[in-house]
Amino acid sequence: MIKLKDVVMEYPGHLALNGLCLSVPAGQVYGLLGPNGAGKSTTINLIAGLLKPTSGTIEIGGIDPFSESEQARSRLAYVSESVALYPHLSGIENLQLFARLANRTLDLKESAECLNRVGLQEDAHHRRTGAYSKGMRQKVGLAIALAKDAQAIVLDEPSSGLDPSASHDLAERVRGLAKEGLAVLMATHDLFRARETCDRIGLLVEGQLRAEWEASEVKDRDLEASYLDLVSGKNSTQASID
Amino acid sequence: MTFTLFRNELLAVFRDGRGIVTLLIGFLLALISTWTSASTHARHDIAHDAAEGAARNAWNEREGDSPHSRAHYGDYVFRPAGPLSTLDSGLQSVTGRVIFTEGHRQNSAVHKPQQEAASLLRYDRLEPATVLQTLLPLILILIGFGTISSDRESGRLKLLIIQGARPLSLLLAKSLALWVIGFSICVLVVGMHLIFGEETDFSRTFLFLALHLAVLWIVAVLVVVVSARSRHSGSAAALLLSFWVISAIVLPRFAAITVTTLDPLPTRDVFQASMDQDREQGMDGHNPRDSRRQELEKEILSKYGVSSRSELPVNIGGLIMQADEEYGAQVWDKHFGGLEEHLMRQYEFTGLFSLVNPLQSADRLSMAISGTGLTSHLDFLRATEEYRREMVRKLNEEDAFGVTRSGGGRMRRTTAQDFYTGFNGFDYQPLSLSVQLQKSRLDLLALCVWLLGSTVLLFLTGQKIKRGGVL
Repeated sequence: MIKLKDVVMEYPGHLALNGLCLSVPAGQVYGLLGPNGAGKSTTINLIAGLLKPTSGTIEIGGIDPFSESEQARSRLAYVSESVALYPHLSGIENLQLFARLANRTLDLKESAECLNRVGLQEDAHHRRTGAYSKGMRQKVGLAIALAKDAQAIVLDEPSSGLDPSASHDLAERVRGLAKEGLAVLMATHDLFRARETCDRIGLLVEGQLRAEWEASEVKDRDLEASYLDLVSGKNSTQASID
Repeated sequence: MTFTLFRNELLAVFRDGRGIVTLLIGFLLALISTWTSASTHARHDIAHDAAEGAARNAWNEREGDSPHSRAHYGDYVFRPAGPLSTLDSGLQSVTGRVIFTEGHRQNSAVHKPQQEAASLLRYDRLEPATVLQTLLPLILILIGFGTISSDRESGRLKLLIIQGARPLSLLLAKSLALWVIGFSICVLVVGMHLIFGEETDFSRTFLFLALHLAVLWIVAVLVVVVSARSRHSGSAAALLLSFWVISAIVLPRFAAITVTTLDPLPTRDVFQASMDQDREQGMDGHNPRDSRRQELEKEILSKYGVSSRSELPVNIGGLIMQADEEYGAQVWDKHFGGLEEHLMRQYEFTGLFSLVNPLQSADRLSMAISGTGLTSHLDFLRATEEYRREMVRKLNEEDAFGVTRSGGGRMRRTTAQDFYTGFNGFDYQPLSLSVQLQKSRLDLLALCVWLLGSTVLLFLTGQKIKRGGVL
């Protein structure tokens, strides 16, 4: 569903991505790990069609997100780290507004069902989101993604700042999305949550994919040690790079 | 989609306490300015009507004057306030609306509102035009500086775009929402004018509204574009406030200073001295020893075929005075014509600043539409001078021909009182709207350029966001 092949992204005086290849098929959660400045945000912006790659190809369901941005974006949902909802609107009003931007009209019942599906308690549906916790906003963010009926979803540091319970809850819901057939790309620093949630994990360092592991491979591996070694360039851990 | 986003923007303003407070201040300013302006004008109009009536009565009831004495007694002319002067009094507080007209001399306006203002009333001009052209843009800036930049800072902009919001729809919706806020205050001001104004010129009122709505669109678009292109809300606010300070305060003064430095007007003393000098070249109608007067006397005696003044069937004094007047008129035409040209040259030069300052073009066009700008004032001066000349000519003719001679050559005046009451006073017709607009071509052009330019900028910014350029 999401495919990047030999993607190079060069800013003036800075090579952000250097021949990145990755693929996220439908029903899979892909965890993109990497330190700050590794190129995760650039990757997300390229997938969203907000940037044009210097070279290489990107496809969302076979569509180039830059040249056919509207079509590609109709297949893609996005949940950001902080999920900046409109604070003057309630959870339901935010959901309805963002759904309408994706050409979906939800009535009150459908909206409430959607919010229930992501676990937002009912008494919060009609409260303004300015008073929501981050976990509650993340749930509305997921509901917005669900309401879009997208085929792929990109999550940017979704568990950052969440308490363990909310983070676990989020991981469960992300797995649920994959089970529904969505391709999920999750950029994160959270190694523990990545191992818990993802089917496949890629480690991006200085614009290059240094390692890729299947979920079964990282099950018994000291992922933190591998991460630190690869990021610091020791490369002492055996990593499988496709 | 644009409507959905537009409705959400308006909802944000109304549900946001700061937005409500700012809007309330805007409405309050509009109400206060309209009310104070209307009441001030009503007070002035009553005073004007009373003074005009008193001057007319005094003229009609005065007895025993010769026409020449009446020319010296003079008459006051009163300029009507202007079709939309309650909305924009323009230069009238500086130029004044009352001129004393008399024989032999051209006077400038008296009883100017600015002369009568106490020092505490230095900033007394809170009128609708000031609110619409100066304060409303500031209110739009305060409400809208973070409209896109805060979306970007919070990450909402990226979410909106990926969710499917078209950047141009987003920018249009935000511009429209800001514009509608300005629109509502504008309509309130003009609506109050229509309700409480005594006489309403609908075409001028409609144009006044259209002008301010156009300017507010330019301001709304600039606010959104700057907000979209600034890295942070703080820098957007700083940039927009700088724009406001420069456009509303600095540039108008800079334009005035530049034009007075590059092309200065003669001072009042120099102008008067130069007029006096030319006047001295002519005849002194009041001085019997003046050689030019003596020459004219000879010509008149020869024309009537008599050898002395006592044989003339007319009063030679009236003819001499009219000749003196005609010479004075030539001098005035020369000097005032030069001054008018000079003022218009300055006016056109400062008009160039409208190309870089949309608020200036709004100010000048607003005065033109309201009939209270420089061109209107110059037209009023011309009309006053025409009235003065006609009045003095009639009086001089009556002075010359309204006499009979008895057998002993003794002159007897035949002027009846109804000759004086036949003077109808000054009836000024303001310049038509089309003439006013024709004289403001440069400002109209500047406004069109700004309208087009800002809208193009909005489209370009939409393209930039679409390509992730400002995310």
